[in-house]
Amino acid sequence: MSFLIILILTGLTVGSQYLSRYLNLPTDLNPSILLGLILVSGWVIGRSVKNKTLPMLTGFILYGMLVGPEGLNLITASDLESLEFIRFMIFMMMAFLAGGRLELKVYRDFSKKIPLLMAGHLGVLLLGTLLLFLILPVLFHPFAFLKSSHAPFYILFTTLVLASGSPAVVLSVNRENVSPVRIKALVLNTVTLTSMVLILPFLGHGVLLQAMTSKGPEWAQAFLTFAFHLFSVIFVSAAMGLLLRFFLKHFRGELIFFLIIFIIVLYGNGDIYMPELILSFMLAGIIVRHHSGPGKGFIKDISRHSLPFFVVFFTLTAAGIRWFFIPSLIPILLVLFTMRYVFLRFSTELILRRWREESFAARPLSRGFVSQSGLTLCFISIASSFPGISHLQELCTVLTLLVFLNLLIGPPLLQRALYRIKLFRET
Amino acid sequence: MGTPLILCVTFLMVFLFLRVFCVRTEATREIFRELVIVSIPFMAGVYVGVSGLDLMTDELMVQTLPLLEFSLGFQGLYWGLFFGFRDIRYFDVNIKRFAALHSFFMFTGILAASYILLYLAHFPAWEILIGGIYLTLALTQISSASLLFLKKFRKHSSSFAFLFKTVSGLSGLFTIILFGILSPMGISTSMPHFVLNLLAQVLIALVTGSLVYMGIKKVNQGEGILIWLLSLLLINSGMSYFFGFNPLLINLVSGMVISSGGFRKQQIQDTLKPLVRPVILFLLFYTGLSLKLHPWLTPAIVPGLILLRFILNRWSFRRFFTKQVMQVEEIRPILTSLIPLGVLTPAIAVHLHLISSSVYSGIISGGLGLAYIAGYALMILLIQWEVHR
Repeated sequence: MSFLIILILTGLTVGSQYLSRYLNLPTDLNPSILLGLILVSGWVIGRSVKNKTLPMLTGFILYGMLVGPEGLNLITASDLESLEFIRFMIFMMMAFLAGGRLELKVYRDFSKKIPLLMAGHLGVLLLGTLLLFLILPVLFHPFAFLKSSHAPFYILFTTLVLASGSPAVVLSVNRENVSPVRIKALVLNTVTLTSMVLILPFLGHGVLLQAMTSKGPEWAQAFLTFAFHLFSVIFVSAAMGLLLRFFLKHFRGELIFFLIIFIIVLYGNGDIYMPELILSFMLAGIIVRHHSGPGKGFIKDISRHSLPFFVVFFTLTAAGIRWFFIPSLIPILLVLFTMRYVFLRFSTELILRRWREESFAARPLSRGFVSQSGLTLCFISIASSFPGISHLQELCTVLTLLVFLNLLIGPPLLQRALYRIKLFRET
Repeated sequence: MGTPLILCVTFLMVFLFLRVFCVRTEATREIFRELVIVSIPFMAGVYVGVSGLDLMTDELMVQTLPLLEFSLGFQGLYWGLFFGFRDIRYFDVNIKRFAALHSFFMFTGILAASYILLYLAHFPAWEILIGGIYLTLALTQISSASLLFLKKFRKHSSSFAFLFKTVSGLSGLFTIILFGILSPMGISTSMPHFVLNLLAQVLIALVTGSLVYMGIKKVNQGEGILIWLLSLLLINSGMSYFFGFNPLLINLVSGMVISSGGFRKQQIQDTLKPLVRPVILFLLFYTGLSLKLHPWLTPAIVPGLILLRFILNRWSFRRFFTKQVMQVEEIRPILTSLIPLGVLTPAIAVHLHLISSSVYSGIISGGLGLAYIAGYALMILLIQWEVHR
């Protein structure tokens, strides 16, 4: 029945577009209608896809691919542009939610070991990328550019992109699964903290981009700008977090409104970097929750009603990714994907096995860190505008495709891992 | 930056005065809290909007349009969910008659006063016609905010509060219907166009409402209900913007269709409940964005029309309410609670600004926003006066 309703609605929309074209009326779909259709259709497909292995999230992504500009083109590039603010708003809400769900104090014993897990991931991926960039130009002629003078930049950039995960994916998969809360918190905390740490180099990256001159970067100016941005992150997050805490104490239910207003004002002021904003919202989430009963309740409330956010965000993200395949880039894509998968698995399993209490989760969970999405795409888009580096676009295209691949494969792996841990606990 | 500064100083002085001299009882404390809550987004809008820092560029306004359309439609849908076709049939005929008479009486009285006021302010003819209707519609509805006060007033039972809530709800229903019928006047080129517009929006609302009701029936989780309702709101509101329908009326009819089905009615209503307050605040923020002050019309709209509304309300309640609906000897507390403007005021103000971006609409919608806030302040003053008596 639900499918039928969606077919009717989509048919009406497509029909009205054809009619508009026939009558010489504007054919751009109203953003609200589009959003409504995305919401209900994405959810219905997500619900149909959902089983023990596939989370709803995979349905949203598949739907996004199907209707996006690279698919049936029901959502055109200009439609996506008209929904840019909504996507930005949801992105910030998710950053806030990810920060708010950080439960370091509750699970203090394993929180101390998360840095080890993060360092392990980053270390092995750096090693892997280094090896890969030494081998690839020898094996594959098209990748000779990796040997150029910009190789250190390529290696660092690729490592950072590979190391980043997706708190949004983990949040989305976590909310559907009823596996042990402790394990869910472990995955979420690791991915969120990694993202927060990785934002800093990307922030520096953006600053360096601004300080570039024809003779190279002006380091003094770059350093000052970086310090300024870092200060603004601390100031914005502290101001937002404390204000929200104040509102929460006195007004509670209206808090979501104030959050949206913050987002609108920050979106309107285009000078602020995206990584800076993400970090600010994550920190604000932490401040709101920290030592605050109403704060925890509020984060729980948002989390409980967050499904529409996930539907819209992942559908739009999947629709927005340019996933066309350039044959010459497929080998490097596969090599990067395999390397990332194997190295993440290896380091996670190694660290969790040494940690007796969680050793039962080592094997299944070692597959659970594959997902990548919005945050990583944001990093890539920042780096892709870096001037004066040859062949950067090719590398960015490969990394975007890699993110897309991980976005498709990661959520089912995480869902499966959580399901197996749950089964293990039950038996 | 003059306007935000003047408003900020005025608001602060009023708040201080009320806090020091008037906020004594629990009931007034709650209304004072309400006053502060509704003032913050309005002032935030004024600071961010054209009168202040002018941060809301045209591009940003376009990008936030879905949020605005959603907020406008939400008011209609939420109303509709509480007033299914069956529910209206169950209400006492005297209450329905009273609500209809009251709405008609208020509408006529305030419309005449608004036209005179706008004519004296030398508004263009078209702005007088449209502005007058919007002003009147916003002032016609009985506010349910008074329940905050009535609940605490021990003398009156909860059944009385329920009765008042019903009357206020019905008054809102009539306001939305009137709004839906009258607002297409702003865009219709001829009478057939006007009628066709009305029929089309009712028909579309019936179809989308029925489709969503069928979808909701298949859902076994609260999240599914939320998704269906949000989609309905977005699709209906988007269509109303695209075709020039009234977002409140189209969503009201859809809401009534869903409510009439009767399936998980309470759960459906509860699903949207957490959004009620944020939506009103968001609309107030938008009202603040477009605020423009008129040297004498703004001060006239705020106290003048509120006073006129109060007198008409008082007269109407004395004339119709006590005799036909309920034999209440002491109606003073109801009269006190008739001061604040209805919850639909911000939505009507924002809709006016959406259909006409002229300076005049900014003056009227800004005046309505201010009147909405001033209503709460006056209510506190009146309660204090009542307590003294």
